[in-house]
Amino acid sequence: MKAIKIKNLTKNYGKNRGISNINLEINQGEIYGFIGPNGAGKSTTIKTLLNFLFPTSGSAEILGKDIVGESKEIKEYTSFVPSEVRYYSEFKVSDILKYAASFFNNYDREYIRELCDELEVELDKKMSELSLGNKKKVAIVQALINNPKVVILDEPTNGLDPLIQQKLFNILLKEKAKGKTIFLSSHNLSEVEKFCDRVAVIKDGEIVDILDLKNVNRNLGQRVRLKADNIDIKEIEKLAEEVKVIDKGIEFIYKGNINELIALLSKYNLEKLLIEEVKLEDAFMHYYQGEGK
Amino acid sequence: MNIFKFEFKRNLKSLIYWSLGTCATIVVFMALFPSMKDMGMQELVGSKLEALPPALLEIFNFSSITDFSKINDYMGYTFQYIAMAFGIYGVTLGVNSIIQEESEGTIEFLYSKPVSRSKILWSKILSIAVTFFAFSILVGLVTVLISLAVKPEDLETMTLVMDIKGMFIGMALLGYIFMAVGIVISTALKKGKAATSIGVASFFGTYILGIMGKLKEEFDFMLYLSPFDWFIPSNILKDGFEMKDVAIGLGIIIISVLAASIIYNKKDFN
Repeated sequence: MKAIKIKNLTKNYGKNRGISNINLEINQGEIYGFIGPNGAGKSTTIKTLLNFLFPTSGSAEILGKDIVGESKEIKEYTSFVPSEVRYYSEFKVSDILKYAASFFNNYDREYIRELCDELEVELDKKMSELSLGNKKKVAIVQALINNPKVVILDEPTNGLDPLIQQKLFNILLKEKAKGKTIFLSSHNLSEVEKFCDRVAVIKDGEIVDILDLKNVNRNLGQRVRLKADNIDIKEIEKLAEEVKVIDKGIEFIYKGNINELIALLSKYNLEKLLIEEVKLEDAFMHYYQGEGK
Repeated sequence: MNIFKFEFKRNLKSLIYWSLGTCATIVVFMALFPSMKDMGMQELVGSKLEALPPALLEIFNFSSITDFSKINDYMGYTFQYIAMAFGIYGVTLGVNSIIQEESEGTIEFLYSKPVSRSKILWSKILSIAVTFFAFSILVGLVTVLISLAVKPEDLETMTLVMDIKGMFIGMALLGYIFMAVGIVISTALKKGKAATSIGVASFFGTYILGIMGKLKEEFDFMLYLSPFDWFIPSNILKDGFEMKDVAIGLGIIIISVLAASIIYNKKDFN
């Protein structure tokens, strides 16, 4: 059984674009990233999955249960961290956590205490007194209160300082190790690259790409930038992709054997040479720049 | 019960403010009553009232026999303003019940928990209904106490208490009718900014319809559109309840709450 299975999910609403024919399958135990520019439909997809919104057409299941008809049951084992945490501002953090716990029969008080300590959650403060990052920490703790099987996070690191970001991902990796599924939307491309098993790219309300990050680095190749007197561009073009002449030199993406590349380059009288791994972030940038794939 | 309890806590502040404000107004009104018995004042008020055109008197629910030296007449007149407070508090509670949480975004918390839309709605309805009940009881008790303090000696305590009880049942019903209408508005609205204004406008809108109904005979059907006019304190004190009005009121409450339930079960979170 898939952790999340989305079939032709469409949501149109008002002037906003919504999402169109989304198809995704997320395996149990995966950390699955969901990226795309602002307004691409990430939050709409997540909110439809959680039945904050009703789908216009199509369907989806979380661990085999229908997102509309069985939403209540789904939330017994699925939890959510919103992008912008807007909990009851007049209440203390401890009240919010108690209220969250009151929806579940069993919860591990000790684990919640550990999480609060690890994330340095200030239990006695009112929600209104907290910064965006500190509110987010409360949202993360309350989302793990019911020992969920699926955790859905909408831009979880938004507002968190780098240290807490690291702590959050450590927590998520621990949860993953326990077999939990994590579905997160993000703008932070390097965190997606670092922690996710797979990633779906959404643009203009449609899924435009699904990448398996375990294999993706191999495919992306090396970015080579060099400056030399006697470059034979045609020779380079036979071996490389995206060959561009830049600022008295050339740049290209090389996916072949690195030794062969070095052998070729040794023929030139090099003035400058830079070889770097193409990061997924660079590939993602295409989607953000509106070029598509 | 967890949502109900949490919601009740959230409503506590408004309950305290509204109770204090309303009780203070009642205490001031009733403290003035002993001076109304004074002959000079009686003449003054009487002659001023007689000078007013009959239509205006009717708008303010005076009748030719209104006598401010009698506690029932005095209460009947002054408590129509308290009845307005009941209507406005009721509609405010109702109209903010759902849309406020949606516009503030706090509803995301509840939506991510294993609880159905119906349970959210009914817990909220129960919570505001109990809050309003507490308000009615509290204000009612204060009214009984202050009234006993200023009542004429020859008036039996029990008669006065029973009259106040009738008046408060009417005012509470009025509040619950507007609360139910407010709940439907709350579930139907997409944005919360104008919620309270829309709620209050619905109260005064129907109130004005009632005035029009009183002013012109051919418009008297409009009185059916004004719940305020079904439970005017002076009428309840004189003639008791019109069962027809009570039935329409209860009907509105039931239909409104059912409509709210249908709308809310299909509502997108904006």
